[in-house]
Amino acid sequence: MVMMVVFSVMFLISLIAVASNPSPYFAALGLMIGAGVGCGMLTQFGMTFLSMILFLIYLGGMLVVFAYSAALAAEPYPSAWGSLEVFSYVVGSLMLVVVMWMLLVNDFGAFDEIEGCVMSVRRYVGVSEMYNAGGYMLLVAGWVLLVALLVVLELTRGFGRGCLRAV
Amino acid sequence: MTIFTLIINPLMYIIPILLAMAFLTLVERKILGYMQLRKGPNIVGPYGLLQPIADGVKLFIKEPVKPSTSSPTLFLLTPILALTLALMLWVPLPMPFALTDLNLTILFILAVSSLSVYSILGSGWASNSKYALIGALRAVAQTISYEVTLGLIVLSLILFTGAFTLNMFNSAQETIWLILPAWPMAAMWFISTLAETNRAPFDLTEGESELVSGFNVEYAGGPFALFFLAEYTNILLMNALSAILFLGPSFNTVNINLNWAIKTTILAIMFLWVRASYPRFRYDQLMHLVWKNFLPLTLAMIAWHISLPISMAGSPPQL
Amino acid sequence: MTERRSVTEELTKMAASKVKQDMPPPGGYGPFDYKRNLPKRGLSGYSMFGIGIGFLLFGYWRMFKWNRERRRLQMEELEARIALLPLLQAESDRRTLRMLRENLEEEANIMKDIPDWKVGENVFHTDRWVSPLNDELFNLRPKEELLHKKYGFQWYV
Repeated sequence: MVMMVVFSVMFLISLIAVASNPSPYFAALGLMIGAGVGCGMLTQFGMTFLSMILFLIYLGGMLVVFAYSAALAAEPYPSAWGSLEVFSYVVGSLMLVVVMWMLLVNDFGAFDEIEGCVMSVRRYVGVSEMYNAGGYMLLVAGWVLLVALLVVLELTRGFGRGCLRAV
Repeated sequence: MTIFTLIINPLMYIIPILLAMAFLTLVERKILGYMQLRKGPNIVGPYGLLQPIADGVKLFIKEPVKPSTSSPTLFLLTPILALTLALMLWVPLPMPFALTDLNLTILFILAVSSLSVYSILGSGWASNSKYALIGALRAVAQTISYEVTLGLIVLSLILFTGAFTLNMFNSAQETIWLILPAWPMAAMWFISTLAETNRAPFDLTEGESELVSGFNVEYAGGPFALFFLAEYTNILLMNALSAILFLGPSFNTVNINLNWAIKTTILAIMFLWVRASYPRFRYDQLMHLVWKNFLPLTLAMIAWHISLPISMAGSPPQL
Repeated sequence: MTERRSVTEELTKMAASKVKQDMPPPGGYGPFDYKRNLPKRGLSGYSMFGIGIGFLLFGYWRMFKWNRERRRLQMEELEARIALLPLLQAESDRRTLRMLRENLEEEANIMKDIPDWKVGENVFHTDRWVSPLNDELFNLRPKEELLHKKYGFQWYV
């Protein structure tokens, strides 16, 4: 379980690195580490197949595109955790994590471990397990995805304005 | 015990791989030379056999250039990452016993080889140079595009063999090599591996005439040598993988993996032959090939490879 | 002055002499062969296509035959495993019980000074048999054994 704790802490740190609003490169780096570590957590739960697929699709495909666009955007003074603004975000999100932990920790169903079964081979039941034990966590994640979809739709709606223009 | 598993075992992999890769560079120069009616390297050692060693020594004793505007950590980290990933890919290959016997070998190889994109992107970005950045962007776009077809081709082969393990490919090809029932996939796989390893005729990223040398313009000496090693190691790995996937090297014979090595060598020489013969693609042709030809074809072939074994009652054993 | 006149004289003389101008032959040039002219060699496209399809069909036939055979072999293997399973299960149960007993003896030894201590009291709210957790079972053993128990069969995953 030592690995699990290490992975969880790294996961948290990398997610804060994303949420603390640094320059896109560093956010992408944080997301990369988070995705890798998340896959490590999944293997610790015995879901090697799901973890491999996640690694392949997310890190190998989608995040590359993110990093690609971030590399295209020129930014003369990229800001990391050293700058005051970003650091205040870090502190804020850490506090948020603590509050959420206190309020919601019993509802994080995805992290329930079935006794003695943690190390069993659940290679191919990963996805169904996620839907079975996801609980409110899954609902929140789905909601976030819906919001993201609407945001993207709004950004790309219309032709002559917004981020995406017909050239 | 630990010293064996953690140091000696990897070294027993790394040293022969690096040696093979060194002589691959020599073979490449020799073959290209003879195809262009010249001799190739023939000064250092007998028949130029020591040329790669001389090259390596030269590169590593040269001063590594560090551009003052670069992002230093990432700049030095990415060559290391590239070589590490290239060597890691060899770990689960069955020859015939792997260093780590994974169940999901193919997924592992695909996942790790998709990570090598980050080393290219990182090096291009960290160099802080237009040529390097554009070269890196080209390389990344090309690599991830061709990765899609590589994954789909592998998937349709898995539908014939029944498992994600490379060992299963050996037992599945005992009666017939997969190149026969899946030769269209084999052709597409070979071309995609050419593109995936940024080889000619898909070496847009190098693009000597327009991009100087692509993402590694700013690198010299040791770091450049690491990129070079990673590139050629990847080429050898891809050929080894193609040999396992399509040419069915049977590992249960007396000459344990001589068979496999010979097939890998033949494929590597085909890489060189292609390089000697064909001019470079134009970038839009490259993208057209993968997105408008290979992708629809592989998607259709997957549907075909799903339905055919089921309808012919010839689906493989699954566990 | 004289020089200039000599030049003009020269020019008029040239125009007067019969210079053959470079013109196309009467009736124009013949048809020019600009079409790419590849020698026709090897098999025709149709026959190569046919051979390719033939390879595919032969390959499918051979592959599927072998796959059926492999399914049979797998069935055999699974049945052998099923036949062996009671034996392996019994061995495993025996090992578990022996270790549990060692643990309980050690517990009794440790807790002998405490009055009202019930050795091996069930911590669960049930009378059914609950298999002990690995961490509990291997508590008194070296760490390596626990790790081997946990990862032993899937250390390669």
